[in-house]
Amino acid sequence: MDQPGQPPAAPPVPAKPPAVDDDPPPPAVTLGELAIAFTKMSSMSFGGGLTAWARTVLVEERKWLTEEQFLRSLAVVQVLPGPNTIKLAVYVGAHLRGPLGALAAVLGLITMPMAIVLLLGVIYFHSGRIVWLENILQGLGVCAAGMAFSLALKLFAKHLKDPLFVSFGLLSFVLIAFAHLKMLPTVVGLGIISVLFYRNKQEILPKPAPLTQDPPLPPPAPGP
Amino acid sequence: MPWNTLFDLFIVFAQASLLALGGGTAVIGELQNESVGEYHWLTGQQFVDIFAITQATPGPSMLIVSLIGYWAMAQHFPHDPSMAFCAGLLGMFVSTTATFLPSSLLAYYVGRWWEHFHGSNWREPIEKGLSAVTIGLLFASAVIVSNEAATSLIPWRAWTIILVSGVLLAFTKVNPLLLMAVAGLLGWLGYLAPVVNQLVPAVTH
Repeated sequence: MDQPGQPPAAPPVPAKPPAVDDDPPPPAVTLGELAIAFTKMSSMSFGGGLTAWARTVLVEERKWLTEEQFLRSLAVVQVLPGPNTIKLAVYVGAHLRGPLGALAAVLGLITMPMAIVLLLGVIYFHSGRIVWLENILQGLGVCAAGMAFSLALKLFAKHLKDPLFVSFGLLSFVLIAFAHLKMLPTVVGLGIISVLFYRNKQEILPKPAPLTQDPPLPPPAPGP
Repeated sequence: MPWNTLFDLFIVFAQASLLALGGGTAVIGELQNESVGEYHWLTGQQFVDIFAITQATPGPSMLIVSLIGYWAMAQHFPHDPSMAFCAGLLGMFVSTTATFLPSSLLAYYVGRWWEHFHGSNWREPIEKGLSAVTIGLLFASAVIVSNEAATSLIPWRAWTIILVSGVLLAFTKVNPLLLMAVAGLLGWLGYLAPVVNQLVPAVTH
C-alpha cells in the first residue's frame, strides 16, 4: 500500500524486450544431440508445419532456446534468401555449437528427406513408362502448382492494405512474368528501390510513441 | 564424366538460390527456365513431375534441385546403370550444396552479427521491401510452373484444379495432403488428360 510521503509504486508496464546480452548462455549440447533433434523435426513434418515442430522440439522438449530466442531466430532468417528450415537450422545450430553445430543441424534436417527424394527420383527416372503413375503424377503436379499460387495469394492478401506493397508487388510480377527480364538483376534492383521507398515512408511518418518506455515517475511528494 | 555439366549445375543453382526469398517457391520459375529452357537437363514434363514429388515429400521443396542434379548427370550414361547412379549422386551432391551453401553462409554470418543490426531502423524497410518484390517472384513462379503442368493436359481442367487448390490452401484450413490425394485421384482417373492420351499413351512425350 502506498504510504503517505512516499512516491506511489510505478504502475506495471510491459518489460523492455531483454537485450541480447541478457539471453541465457547456450546450454551444452553435443553435435549428435543436435543432429537427432533436427532429424526428429524433419520426420514429423510430413505435409508441412516444420516451424511448429521446430518450436516444439527446441523450446518445449529440449529447452535449448527460450520462446523469445526462437521467435527472434525466425525473424532474423526470414529476410534472407533460402528455405526457412535450412536457415533456421544454421542459425540455431551455430548459436548452440558454432559452425560445426550449424552443419550437424542441417545434416540432421535434410538427410532423411534427401534419401526419400533420391529413392523416389531413381525410381522415377530409371523406370520405363508407367501410365497410371504418370497420371497420378500429373494430378499431383497441378496440385503442387496450386500450392505455389497459395503462397503468393496468402502473402498478397496479408498486405492488401499497403499501397506501397501492392505497387511493388504488381511491378515485380509484370517485370518478371511479362517483360522477360533476367530475374536476379531485376529482383536486386527492384528490391533496393522498394527498400528505399519503405525507408523513406518510415521517415515521413511520425514515429509512434514507444510502447515500452517507462512513464516518467511523478515528482516525489514532499517529505516529512 | 561430364564435368562441364557439374560446373553448370553449381553456377546455376548457386545464383538461383539467392532468388529464393521466403523459401523455395519463389525460385521455382527460374529453376524451370534454366533446367528445361536453357540447359535442357530435363523435359518440361519431367520438371513438373519431380516438382510434384518434392512437394509431396517431407523436407524443403527446394530438394527438387537434388533430383535435377541427379538426372543432369545420370542421363549421360543410358546404358550403364551403376555409372549413371554414381554420376547422378555426384550431380545431386553438387547441386544440393550449391543451392544451400550461399543461404547457409548468409544465415550464419548475419546471425552472428545480429546484435549489431538489432533494433536498426533498416530492419522493417528491408523486410517489407523485399517481401513486396517476392510477391512478383511467387506469382511468376506459380504461372510458369502451371503453364508447364497444363501443357499436356486439358487446359481448363488443369487450371481449375490449380486455382481452386491455390485458393483453398491460401484461405481455408484444408489439409494439404488431402488435396494432393484428391488431385492424384483425379489424375489417375484420367480426368485431366486429353482423351487421345488415354487411348494411345505411346503418342505423348
